[in-house]
Amino acid sequence: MKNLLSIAAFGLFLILWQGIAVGFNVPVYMLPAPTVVLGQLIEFAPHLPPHIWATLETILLGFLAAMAFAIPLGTLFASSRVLSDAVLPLIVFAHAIPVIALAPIIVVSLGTGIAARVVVVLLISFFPILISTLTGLRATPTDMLDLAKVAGSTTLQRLRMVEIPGAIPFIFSGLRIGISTAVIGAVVGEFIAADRGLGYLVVHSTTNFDVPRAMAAVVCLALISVLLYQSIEWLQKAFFPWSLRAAAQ
Amino acid sequence: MVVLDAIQFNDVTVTYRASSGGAHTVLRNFDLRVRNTEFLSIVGPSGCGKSTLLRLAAQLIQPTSGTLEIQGDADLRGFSKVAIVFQRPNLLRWLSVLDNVLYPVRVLRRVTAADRDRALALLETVGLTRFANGMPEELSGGMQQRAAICRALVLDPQILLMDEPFSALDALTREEMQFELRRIHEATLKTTLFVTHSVNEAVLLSDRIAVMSSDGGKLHDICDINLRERSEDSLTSEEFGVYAKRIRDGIYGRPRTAKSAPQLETEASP
Repeated sequence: MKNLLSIAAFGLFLILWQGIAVGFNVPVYMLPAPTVVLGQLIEFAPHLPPHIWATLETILLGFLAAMAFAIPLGTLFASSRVLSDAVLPLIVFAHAIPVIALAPIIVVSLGTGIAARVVVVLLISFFPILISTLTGLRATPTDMLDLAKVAGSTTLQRLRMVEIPGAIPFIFSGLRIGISTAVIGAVVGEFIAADRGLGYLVVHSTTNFDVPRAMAAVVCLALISVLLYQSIEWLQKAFFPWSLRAAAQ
Repeated sequence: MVVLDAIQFNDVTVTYRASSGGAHTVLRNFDLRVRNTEFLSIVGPSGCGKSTLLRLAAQLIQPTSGTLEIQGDADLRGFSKVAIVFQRPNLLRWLSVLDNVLYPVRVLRRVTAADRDRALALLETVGLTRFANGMPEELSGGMQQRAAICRALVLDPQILLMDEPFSALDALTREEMQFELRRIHEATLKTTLFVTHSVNEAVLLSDRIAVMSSDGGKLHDICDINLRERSEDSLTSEEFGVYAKRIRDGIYGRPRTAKSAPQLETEASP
């Protein structure tokens, strides 16, 4: 029922869009009708895979790198109050700098290759994963830790057997936000320095006033974003189904 | 040498340092001996140091001064000697009920077939056999607390510490759990240190009750409970009422009247 309602709302949105574009005779370079965008998508489809793959590669590499740094660092901060008090304010400050403003500097430093774009994705999706991991680990109920202590567990056992599994729902919330921001990061990177990718396609098409093709690329980006977001949910459901159910106590 | 006391608090003082820089003494020069195999309840007003006492016995905190001995030894950490049950069951959501019961074993060593058999036998005693492979969220609050008690007993500890284990349960489940705990205690004869706010619960379950005062966490009274029977009917008996009144008088600092409990045996009243 919920799905049906969202499909109906989306259908209504498309009808409205089509109505405005056709009814008011809006020029194609200002607002192409959904049918025009769809036509462009079909026409350009054979040329899309290299662009889609380039963007996906940037997103996945940057996101995996963000995970590889953020989860262990969040765990380290949760284990050491001194370390988190010393370093976390610096990370929060760094996060306050818009990555979009940093992107051109990163390109100058690392060149126009994929490395610069991956770093942009890494920077943009690192923070939500770090904070979620830290919050999740710190949310472990004191009683649970005390119980593990009385049972004779070591700090490492508590981390492995109680704190990290308990933080899984939080970590996955961070991953969901992280993957969405990773898509933005990849597009920003491709806006600045790329010779392929969906972000590059948007810039290249709009430079030639080919708005329908740019919109087709945007539609692809939206689909990738939804697909990746859903993949995170599928992974959570497959490996940690308990974390999606209501708390036991 | 036979050790008669399971836990000894010798002249124990616990002072917490507040973040504002001040100090708050929860227990002051506290002495208490918990005998082997007895069920001793601790009652007293909020903030009198009941839970601190339990945390001391669990070695989760150390006394500021004084000493603590468990079975005549100074260091007895580990569920094989001391096990604890909290107000909330704290079952791990990602483990099955059986794996939750086996959790203390897993902390210490690899789980053996004998451990699994023991865990299953414990679950059977509390009527949870058919939920052994289920997840904690499939259990009601009372069932979860039963599983938590099984978890505490899985390593056959010498001492069971319980911090208001039934206070989060509804009245009916609580009553049911009280009788179940007493039955488990009579079957296993585990030394049990039980913290509760409920006078009736303490009288119903205990061999002895220690009444604490809010005045710097001191022991106000220790009362032996010799109920002729412990059943639903005993809750309304005159004998039960006399015990309960004596404990309440102790908690509220009322002078003991002639009617309150002259006939009851008093062991110590520091």
